[in-house]
Amino acid sequence: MWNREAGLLFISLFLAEGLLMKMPHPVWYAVLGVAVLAPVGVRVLTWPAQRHVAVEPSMAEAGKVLFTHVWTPHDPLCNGGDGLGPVYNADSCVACHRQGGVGGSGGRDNNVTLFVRNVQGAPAMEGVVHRYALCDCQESLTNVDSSLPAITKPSLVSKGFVCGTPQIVPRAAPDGSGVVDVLTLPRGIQLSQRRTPALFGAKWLDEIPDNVLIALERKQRLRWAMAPSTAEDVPVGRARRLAQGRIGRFGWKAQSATLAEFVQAACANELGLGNPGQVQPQPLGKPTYQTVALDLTARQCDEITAFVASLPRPQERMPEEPFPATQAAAGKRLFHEIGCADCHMPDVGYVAGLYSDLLLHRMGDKLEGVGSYNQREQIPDPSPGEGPLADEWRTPPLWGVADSGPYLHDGRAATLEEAIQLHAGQAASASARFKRLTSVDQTHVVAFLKSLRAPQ
Amino acid sequence: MSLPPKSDRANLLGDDDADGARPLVTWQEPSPLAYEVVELPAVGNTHVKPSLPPLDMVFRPHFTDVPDIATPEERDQAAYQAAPAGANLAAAQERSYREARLQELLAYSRRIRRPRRPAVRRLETHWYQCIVLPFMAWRLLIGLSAGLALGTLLALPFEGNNLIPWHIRYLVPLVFVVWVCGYLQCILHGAVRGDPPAVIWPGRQFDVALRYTGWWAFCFLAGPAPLAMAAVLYWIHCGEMDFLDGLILVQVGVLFVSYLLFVLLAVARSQRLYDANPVRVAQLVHGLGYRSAVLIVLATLLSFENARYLLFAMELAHENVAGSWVLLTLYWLSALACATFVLRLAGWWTFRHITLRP
Repeated sequence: MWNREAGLLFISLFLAEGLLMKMPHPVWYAVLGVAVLAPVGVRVLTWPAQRHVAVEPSMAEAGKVLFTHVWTPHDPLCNGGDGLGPVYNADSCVACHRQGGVGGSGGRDNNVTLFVRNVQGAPAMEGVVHRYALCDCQESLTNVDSSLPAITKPSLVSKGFVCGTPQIVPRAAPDGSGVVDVLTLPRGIQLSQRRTPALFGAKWLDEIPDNVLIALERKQRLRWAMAPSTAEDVPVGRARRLAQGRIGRFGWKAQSATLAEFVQAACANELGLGNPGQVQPQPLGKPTYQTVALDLTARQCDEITAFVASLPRPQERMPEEPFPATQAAAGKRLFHEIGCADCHMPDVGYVAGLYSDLLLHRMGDKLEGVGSYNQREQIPDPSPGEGPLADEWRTPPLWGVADSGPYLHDGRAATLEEAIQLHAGQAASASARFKRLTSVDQTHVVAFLKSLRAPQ
Repeated sequence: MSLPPKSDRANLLGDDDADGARPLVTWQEPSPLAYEVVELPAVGNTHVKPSLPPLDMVFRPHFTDVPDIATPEERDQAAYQAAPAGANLAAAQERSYREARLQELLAYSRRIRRPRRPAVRRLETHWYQCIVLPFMAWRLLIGLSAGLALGTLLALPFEGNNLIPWHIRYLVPLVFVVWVCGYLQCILHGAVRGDPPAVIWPGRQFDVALRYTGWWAFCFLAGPAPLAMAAVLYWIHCGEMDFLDGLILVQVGVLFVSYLLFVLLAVARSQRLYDANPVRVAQLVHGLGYRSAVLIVLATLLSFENARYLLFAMELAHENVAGSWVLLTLYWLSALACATFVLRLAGWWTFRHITLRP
């Protein structure tokens, strides 16, 4: 707003000055031409280019060692830190990132439980209920609210609850065989789970310039008649703006702008390895826990990042047999026709075959999920432009989707068909079109999705 | 040239006794300043006089047996002869005659339905007088605005609009767009010709409106279209907007609006699409002098403000269709009123400072 008005003022003053001085026409035109072309020239010279950072093989090799290393308390690789823990969800990166190869996604048993507490009489906070802990630091739902049972490894199948109201969360059996009982959450307490995402091709996501994501956001707005991103009926997403104007692109809520930040946050929150980018979490039951020193150095973080960046990108592999190949080709056509590609865009910038726009989209109240990795005293206002809304999710890239089940943010969908049918909110129209397809056509769409494989 | 004096009310009432009061209408040779000749219809005051019946027959009912005699002297003589003996005929006759004449005249003037005096419009002499024209056309503007708002809602890519047949979704807005282009071209055409301000639009002559729409489309494609495309593409790909981006977009927007305005002016002035070229536009800008800059600033400011208003209304349309229809109607009303004013002003300046320039 200010920029435009300032520009208008500048033009007006410029014209007025020219008129007052009564410059002859050639001079007038020359000055006007310079004034018009100078900003364009400056902008051309400062236009952001795509980042291409070559991964050093030695760094990647060292990072692979760290990525597959099973961490222990006071681990020798931790440079004087306390090593694994005190609270953690796994003891190595590869323990969760394993489907389809090292760096892949994780199953439902690796879900991370996030909570938000916003009750009267207690400080508002959000964070992670870690599955494991050392000595007397074990976290359970009782640490979130004293009225909840002392469940240390909650396995939630959250369906159909609304934020801000008491939730009744069906609790699944550990083996995923079914619901064993329900968990009634008091008002102001919200739980949500996140599934382990695949890391294949993360380097390509990291190299996408911010303006490409903003361009996607504006194209979607333009296509849907300048609809705001809060609209629930049209697929208009928004790029998540982080601190210092960076655009988030990693994580279910697009909470990290770069691969390095994402890796550092995961090391701290999942393994309890404090590092220069992210301190290790304090145990919920023992907030006075004293951190000895950082567990990872900046170089070790860079090595892990380099290894993740060296992971190949997933590929679209059509079946070799003629009939399945025909099915997959027909499914790809239907995938575009029914509107899936509005959000799961095949190409983003120079990255082909991504099948995502990396924007936040509203997915309806059935797919709400709150919480953040970072423990914060104050919960940000979930308004557009700031923190994501509870039903806003970054469009997950579909490359490698065939090897990354179960699906959706908490793995509630066992199959691809179920995942599509659970889409709501801005994806409701595409989901409805999928449901209106014949069973044969639905099979074709799924056949196409199953051709998006993890790298071999 | 001035209007005739208003002292001829006796003439308007049909008093034939006021001989010689009717002004003589004399045609003058057209002067080089054609707009002065336009003021001549000021003599139109005289043509609204209704033709009254012979007053002598109406105003003397008690002299019904008096034949219609040609001269006033003969009428008076006959009345004198028909009056009763001893009456002060001279005074009574005069008094009754005048009272009856006055009463009947008033009654008759109340009974008759006088035609409305046509508004005599004069060509503007100051720039701010061009503001009158949008107010003169308020009925037409409201109708067109409501239709355009409906058309906008139909054409917008809402999720529910897919259920509407395509020919309704796109033809209804197109019809209103054609009418609007026709109306604006009529306004511009009248202004560059030096016509006094008048609300002119194609109406049922849809072919005329369609032709004018074709002109507008041609003028848009002959220069402003690439600028508009460049502005949209730049806005999409520039990333987060900073001052430099805002400045560039403002520059392109100013170029777009001003070039479109001057191309339309050039074509309306010569009635040739061939003149939609940069040379003619440059000549027009030169001819108008500093007024070009004023037009550019004015048109740009009005366009930007209306564009901001349109964006707001379109955003609202995704949440509240009825409310957005009202907002869109107000937007189109504002936009059409502004366009009417700017086009009238631009055309009038072109006529006065280029066409009439010796």
